[in-house]
Amino acid sequence: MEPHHFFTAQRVLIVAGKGGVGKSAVAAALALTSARAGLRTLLVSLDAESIEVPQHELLNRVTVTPGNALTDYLASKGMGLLSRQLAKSGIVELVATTAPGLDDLLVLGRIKAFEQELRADVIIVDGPAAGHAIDLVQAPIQLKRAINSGPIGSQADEVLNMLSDGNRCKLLMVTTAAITPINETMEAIEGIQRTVNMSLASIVVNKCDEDVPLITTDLPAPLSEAYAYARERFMAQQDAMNTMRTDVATSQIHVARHRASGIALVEEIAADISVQIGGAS
Amino acid sequence: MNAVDSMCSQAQVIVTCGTGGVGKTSIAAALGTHAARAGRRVVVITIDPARRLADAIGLGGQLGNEPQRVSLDSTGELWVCMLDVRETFDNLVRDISPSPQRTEEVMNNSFYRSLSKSLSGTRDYMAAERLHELQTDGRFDLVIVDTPPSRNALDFLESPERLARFLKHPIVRLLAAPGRGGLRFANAALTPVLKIISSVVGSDALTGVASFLKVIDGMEDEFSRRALAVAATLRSNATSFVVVTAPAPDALVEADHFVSELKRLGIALRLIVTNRMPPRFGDTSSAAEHASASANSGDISVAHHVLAELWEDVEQAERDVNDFLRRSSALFGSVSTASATELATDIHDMRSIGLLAEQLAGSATEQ
Repeated sequence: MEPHHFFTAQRVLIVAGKGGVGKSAVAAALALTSARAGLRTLLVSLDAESIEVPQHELLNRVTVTPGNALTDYLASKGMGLLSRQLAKSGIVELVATTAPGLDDLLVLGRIKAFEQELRADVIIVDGPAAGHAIDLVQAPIQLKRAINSGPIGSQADEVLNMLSDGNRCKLLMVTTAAITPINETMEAIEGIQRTVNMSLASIVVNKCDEDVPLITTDLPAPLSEAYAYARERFMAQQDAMNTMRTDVATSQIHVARHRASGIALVEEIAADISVQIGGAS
Repeated sequence: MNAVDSMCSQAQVIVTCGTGGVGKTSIAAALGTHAARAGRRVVVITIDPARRLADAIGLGGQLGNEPQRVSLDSTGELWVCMLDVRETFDNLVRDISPSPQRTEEVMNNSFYRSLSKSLSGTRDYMAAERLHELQTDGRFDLVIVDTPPSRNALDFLESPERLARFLKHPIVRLLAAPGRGGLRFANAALTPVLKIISSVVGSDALTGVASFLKVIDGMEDEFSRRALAVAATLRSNATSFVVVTAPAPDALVEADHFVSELKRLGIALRLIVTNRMPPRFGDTSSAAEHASASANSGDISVAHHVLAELWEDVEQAERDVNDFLRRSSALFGSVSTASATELATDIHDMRSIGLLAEQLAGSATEQ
């Protein structure tokens, strides 16, 4: 079964993309598709305010923020009670300032713990915006430069092991079919592959226009203007997609532009994804 | 006078906020162009790490911390720059350091180096600092700040106060001056806290922070003073806040968030720009006719289908945008608006930025 294969090729999928491309809806749709393929799926949000997702018995959700990741980490070191008191007094911010990148490492450390505990067959992380994706996955490297010993040093090593092992964890980028988001996506992929050596699962191109075929018949106004506009927009999308690096272009999933929002949108995207997932895997 | 004309001729600082994909950077550049055409000397600063503004105005990869002049056929001037966190932080340290030797010590401190390189909090603070520098620089009448396309974009408004608070935090004071016996004999009440921080980040990191705080000893008051001056400018009448959105449902959810954040921060909302509105071809009464004609065969049905779809986009966009404007008005009373239509291709040159400026001024409500 193809969706099954696509989702079990790794245990953790980190979904990243810049604002406005529909990253969270795509992450939710991927999680739904995975659950419907019979896999126990955990959707991890890095933002306290996350979108609605259709119910499924195999789909669970959890939110991981630097604050609760720090509290969990301290609790695991036997300092639970004190850490909760400190969390209230704004100490988390202070600790994060003390060691830049620590908040990101704590979040990744939590995801790694889910993976090690086998909390689910598939873990889908509704990750950060594209620009911040590089910061997030490079946080362990940055931190190791400053702190190469103690619990942080070993935590950073363990997280890096997970990120660079394509059998455990892969990156999935979401973009729209316009030149700027595609350029930024390519830059993010190159940066992440160069430094952390993460594998790329796929690129989801969201909000694709439907095909506007070439016609040569003379049209009356306003049909002629509307057609010229739609055709130009469609061709610009095609041109933008053609600028993608050939080695990553082979694993694209195209999602149509939908008018729905909320749960209905997640359902529509999931339908587009499950149709194409065989070709992408 | 319409709202765009009056804002562009009077404001000293304009801050544009909005989520990604709404064309916020292009709107910032268009407002800058409009103000420059009215004779003002304008600088647009982007703190977005992606170089979108550079792409739009054709400066490509050359954009850095120093403003570059954009050639423009007008009496005013348009300059653009992109925030360089490291350079801005270094300049700030040089500026307030009591001696070159002390500057050197700060630059060589390992904690300072990691602080000025990563940390989004540092970026927010330096954005505010850079705004302050450009505003007091004398070369410009108007500074337009294009905030990063994130939900937390308005954090930079609070970052100066956050830094001041950080430097005054009891733990930080303790680290800076732990007393004669060093950290081991520090204030008994705070020792468990330091122990926890130390157990998480390791004692090396804590030592790095402590030596950083010693190096900047005496400078922190100036840090705080500058930070608070920036915060005051941002909250004064000289600063206008613009929320930029597109009609897509997810963009409007984010726009609602920005509007309520401004309300929470006690900041006036000067203008809402609804960008990337679907274009209107013909008139709305023909929409149903095109929808039924698209069922026919042949080339002309393709065009009917395209037009019917566009009209459906127009109707949905207007409905959703009007709902959003009603919600904003409920919070702020009447809000001025301007809008622009979506182009078939990405904005990639000054000519289209200029056309965008004309659309904004032409559609702006009175005020």
